[in-house]
Amino acid sequence: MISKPFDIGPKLVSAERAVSAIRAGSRIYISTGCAAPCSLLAALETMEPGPADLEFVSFLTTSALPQVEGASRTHYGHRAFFVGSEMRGLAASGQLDYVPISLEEVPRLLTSGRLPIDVALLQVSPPDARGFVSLGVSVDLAPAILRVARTAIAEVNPAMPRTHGESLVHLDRFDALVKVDAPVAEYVHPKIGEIAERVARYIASIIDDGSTLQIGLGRVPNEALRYLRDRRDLGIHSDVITDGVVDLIEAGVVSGRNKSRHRDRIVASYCLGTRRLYDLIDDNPGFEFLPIDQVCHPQEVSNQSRMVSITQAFAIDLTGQVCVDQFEGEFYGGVSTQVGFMRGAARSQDGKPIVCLSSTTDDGASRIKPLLEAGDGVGIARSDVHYVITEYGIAYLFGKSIRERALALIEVAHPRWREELLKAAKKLGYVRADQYVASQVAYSVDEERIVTLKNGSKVMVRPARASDAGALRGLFHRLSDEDVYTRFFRRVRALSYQELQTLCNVNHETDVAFLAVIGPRENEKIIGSACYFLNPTTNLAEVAFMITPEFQGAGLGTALQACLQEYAMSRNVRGFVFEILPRNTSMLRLAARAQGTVTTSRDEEGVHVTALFSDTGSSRSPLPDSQDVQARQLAA
Amino acid sequence: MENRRTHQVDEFKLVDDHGKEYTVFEYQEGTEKPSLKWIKAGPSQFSLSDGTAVDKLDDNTFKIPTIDRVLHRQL
Repeated sequence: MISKPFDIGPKLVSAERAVSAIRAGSRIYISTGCAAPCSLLAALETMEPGPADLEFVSFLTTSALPQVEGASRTHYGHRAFFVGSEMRGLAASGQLDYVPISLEEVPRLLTSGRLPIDVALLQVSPPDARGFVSLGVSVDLAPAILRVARTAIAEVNPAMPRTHGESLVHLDRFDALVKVDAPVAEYVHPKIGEIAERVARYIASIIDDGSTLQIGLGRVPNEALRYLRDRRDLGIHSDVITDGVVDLIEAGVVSGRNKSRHRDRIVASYCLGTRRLYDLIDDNPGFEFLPIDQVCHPQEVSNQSRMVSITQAFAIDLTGQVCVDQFEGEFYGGVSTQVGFMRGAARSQDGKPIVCLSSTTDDGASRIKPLLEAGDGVGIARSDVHYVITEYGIAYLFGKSIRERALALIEVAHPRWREELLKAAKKLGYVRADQYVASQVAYSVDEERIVTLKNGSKVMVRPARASDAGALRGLFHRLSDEDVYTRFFRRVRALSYQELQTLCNVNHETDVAFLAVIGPRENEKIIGSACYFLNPTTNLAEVAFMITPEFQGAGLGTALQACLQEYAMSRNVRGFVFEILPRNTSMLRLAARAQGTVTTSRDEEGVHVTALFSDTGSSRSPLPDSQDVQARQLAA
Repeated sequence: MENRRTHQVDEFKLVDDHGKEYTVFEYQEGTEKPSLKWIKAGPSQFSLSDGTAVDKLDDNTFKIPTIDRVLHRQL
């Protein structure tokens, strides 16, 4: 049994001595984020004269470069796979070369010799008794770098956590070691505002129990973690983990029990966080830190079921092209691992690739654009985009036509840009000339209800959107001729596009429509429709329903009516008016159950039922005993 | 939206005494509610697809007056 500390003495030198052997013209890799070897870099920066023509290669730096008056200052050139705030300022001085590349491709770039690395500068933990140091908080590219770099120099820092996975490297691999005794750099995401919080809530609303998450670097995806504390058995398979993960673990939300691979373990490639996170991962076999190409390869990602990948974007055009690394001419961020995770999550069973963005920039311009402009780089192809989430709701684009995409994206754009976007979409031929968007408010996740019907099936009742027209047509064609006749009081072979829009593209103020849907959000089937149209003169609303035959008699009409009524009462609508054909007995029964004072009259045209709501405020109308309305507010 | 107009509201099959089948269209004057419900505002008119007028005798019996032929609903 080996128990003596491993002797690192023979290779131990000062930082100045370690970097003195670096030759002019060398290409030098510096480890990622919080593992940046700051003393080695500082020694190189302060060398007089320093070696000429050094080029640093990095994925992401957060604390590597010397700062002068809040700006990065370096004597050397930098080749970066991600333009973070530290690198951003170097572009103007011509010291930055940004390489747009999916990060999981970088190891191949290195091992193929297309990007030779002369020197690797890393920060590692002290060795164990057998002489293995840990790459600590940043494994990511380091294993590949250590395979190709001619020279490897490491700072040995007792504060660096020893991580499990593939993070161990024997001291033999290093040519020089520098002792450092300083806290590992920390990274805290800047606070986000109210708008980003709303986006985060929408994201959280579509993450199911048992999902496996990739969080990425964006502030909004990290904020979304805060709203997942009521979930169960989440898993983590992510390029990066942050302090948000610690919160979820402490809340008992992360078990990894349902992961298809690396069950019960959190898989990451690097972390950006505080000492709290570093203490948690230190010598913790519950975390596996693996090379970036193992974590982020689309095939590996797709092996996880219910994989959720969240990417924050700068902009998106109406066809779904996503701008992630260049916005308005400036390179910022990077392709990073987004493409791999998006594709992997798309192929994962029940996976959800999510692109999120606030609907406008800080100066109010729309991030949803008719066309991306010169200087906006496409990082994610339109064919790879599934969910798009803004503070105005959730659009699902995959498999949708250009018209459907444009309409869905206009619906989640900021209301003050919707008319202009619609006009542009018409001009581009993306949507019909007679298309309109009635709603000027955010899609209300708070109005979504999960309802358990008499037959035991759970359905979601939610507000209708303009982009529901196609699925609503499907509902119409499943109705029997008799259902159609009793709904429209005439035979209708097909609903025109405009008629469909009347039933779903509503302003949610005077015209209101709810739909009952089953199936996952990305593949919903509409099984019921309920709408009301307010007569402003009487303050009474005419209501109408369509229920697909297989759900008739299951209490769906009652549930839809309850939602409509609650919504109407909260808006001080005086009551409902039902126009019913005498032979439509199920509708007569439903109308009779409306809340309030119900009066009925009959003439040649049919039965007219008026339900005047009792003065009970906006309380939910009673449901039959057989109904179990859970009223779970999904985004709460 | 509630302008009065004439609309085809139904279509059904009738047969004469020789078993010949006819398709009859029902038209009504009326208005359409915002909910797309049709509210009739007058008597129905019936015709064949070629425009030949059909008279309604009762719910199940119709007549083509120009050729004096009685038609019945198929039960």
